[in-house]
Amino acid sequence: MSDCVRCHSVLEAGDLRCPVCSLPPPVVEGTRTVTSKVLRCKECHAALRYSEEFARTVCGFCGAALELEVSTDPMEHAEAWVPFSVSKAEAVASLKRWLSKRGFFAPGDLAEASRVDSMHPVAWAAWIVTGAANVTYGTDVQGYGRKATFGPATGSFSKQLNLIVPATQGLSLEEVVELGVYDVATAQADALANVPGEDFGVTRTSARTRILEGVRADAVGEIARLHKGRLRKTNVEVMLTGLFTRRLLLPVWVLAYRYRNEKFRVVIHGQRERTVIGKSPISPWRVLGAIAASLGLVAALLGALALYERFH
Amino acid sequence: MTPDEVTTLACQQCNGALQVGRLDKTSTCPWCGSGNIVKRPPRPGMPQPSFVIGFTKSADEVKRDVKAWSKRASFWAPRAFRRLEVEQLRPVYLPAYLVSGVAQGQWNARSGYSYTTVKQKRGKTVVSSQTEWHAVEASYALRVHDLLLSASQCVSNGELQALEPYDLGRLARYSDAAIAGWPAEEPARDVNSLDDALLEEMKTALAPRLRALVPGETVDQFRFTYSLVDPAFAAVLVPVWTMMVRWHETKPRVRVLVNGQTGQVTGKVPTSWLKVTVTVLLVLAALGGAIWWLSREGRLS
Repeated sequence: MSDCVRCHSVLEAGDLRCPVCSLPPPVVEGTRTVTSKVLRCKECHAALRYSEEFARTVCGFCGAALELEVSTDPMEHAEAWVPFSVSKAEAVASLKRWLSKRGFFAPGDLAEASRVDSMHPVAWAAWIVTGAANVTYGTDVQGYGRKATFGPATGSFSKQLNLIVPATQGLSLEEVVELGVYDVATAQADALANVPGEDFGVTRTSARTRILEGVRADAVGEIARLHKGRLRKTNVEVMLTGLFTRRLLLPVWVLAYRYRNEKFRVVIHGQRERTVIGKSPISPWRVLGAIAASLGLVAALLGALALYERFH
Repeated sequence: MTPDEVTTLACQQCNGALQVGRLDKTSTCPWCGSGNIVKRPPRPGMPQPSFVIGFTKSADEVKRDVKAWSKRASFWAPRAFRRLEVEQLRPVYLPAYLVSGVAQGQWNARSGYSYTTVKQKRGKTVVSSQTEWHAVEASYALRVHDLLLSASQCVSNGELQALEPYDLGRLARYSDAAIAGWPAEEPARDVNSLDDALLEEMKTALAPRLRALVPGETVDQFRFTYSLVDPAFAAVLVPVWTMMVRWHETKPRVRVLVNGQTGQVTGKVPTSWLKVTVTVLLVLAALGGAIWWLSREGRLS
């Protein structure tokens, strides 16, 4: 790996030019005088000719071929694993704590009656992107108009990137967003024992497209924070510098718990046991009770109003 | 070519005399048919090729593409043009520059947002739609990539644009192997002589990207300024088939260019002045007839 001299992004093996700014490496070729050269086959020394049929240079006599050096587009593979700092027992305890705080509409016995059905440590695939982005944008913002509902907002800002762009197929985007940040300083090259690691399943070109989409989505989020109100037609141009991408596998506990024959999935952060994402059942009795109580309250208010009108 | 523009080298296969033009990057030996690659000292402002896009279209495929193109020529082309004969078909690796850099400048426009007003007029409710205009402007800095500019003496930038796009995903690092046995040209234009063409290409590339940044339901008076900062010029050889096509014994032949990768064809299609004259006469006759009929009916005051 080397750095682009113009935008300081990291070039990877097989890149013919910088993936961010397209700068090619310098060419160091040239002679002092005009000379000619015949390209010869290394096998039989015959003169070679490029073949448009095979898109490479082929020897017409012995069939030997010279491949041209083109940009490679390998499949993405994880380069390091981030270890777990939440043990299995801590994850189970965290689940119990989470179940006991599911709010009024959850069944009263949810924490006691729920049983862990299955529990797996999983390492999910993500790109960790660092660098800097210069964002230029234009958007319509609700409330920015004088008489019209929407009005314009434009501007530009710079921001340092430290993004997790998911490559996972197993976790939903909402789950990834709720999982939040990881401490990746502890990432190690060795695979974690008994932890299945997710495959990235995309080529480098597709990965770069997804990373850029992730950077753009992050920029749109920043614009939404800058301008309060509903946005529409938000368009951004992102200029990246010093882009560096790591392909990491991030730890997560994936659990399934059972409550009265119904199964629910829960995901627990592998480094922060308090981050628990999942679904839980709703008690129909409690919902009916809430509706009945509301109706009773309304009836009581109406009755009180009727009595007030009768005596005054 | 003047004698000064020709260098005589020895063929590296048979030692025969090899005549090499000033801008030839390759030359085929007239004695043994071997493809020689010409090596020259670097010239100021003329970068050595970094990349090459290989030919993928064969001569037979190109002939078919050109015939199909001539059959699709506009109505105003002479009928004979649709039955043209391809002559002097010649491949050439054309020198070009791939330009990248940071475009900077400002844009301004008026963004319009519609709203409705309800008024009472003589006892009636009148609903009207109006537009509220906002003046918007912003400065910008964004990367531009892959602006392809011709560095050839014979093919203008406009002609190269007509052949685009090239699939730059198939870009290969330049090596002699990619042009072995094929004619190739040296760049004839240095990077400093590209200003006008570069600005034109930048304008074309930037306009839709900046226009997309303008907010509003309707946009009016969109303008932008631009300059290129920190540009890089990568020399690239692109595959082009050139040919002269004869469509009439007495008429001048037409030069046609074909993208050696995609088969995109470009060339100046001749106009049939007979068709134009007949069409104009028919239109005039129809107008005259209509006027005569209207005057006879007394409808023309």
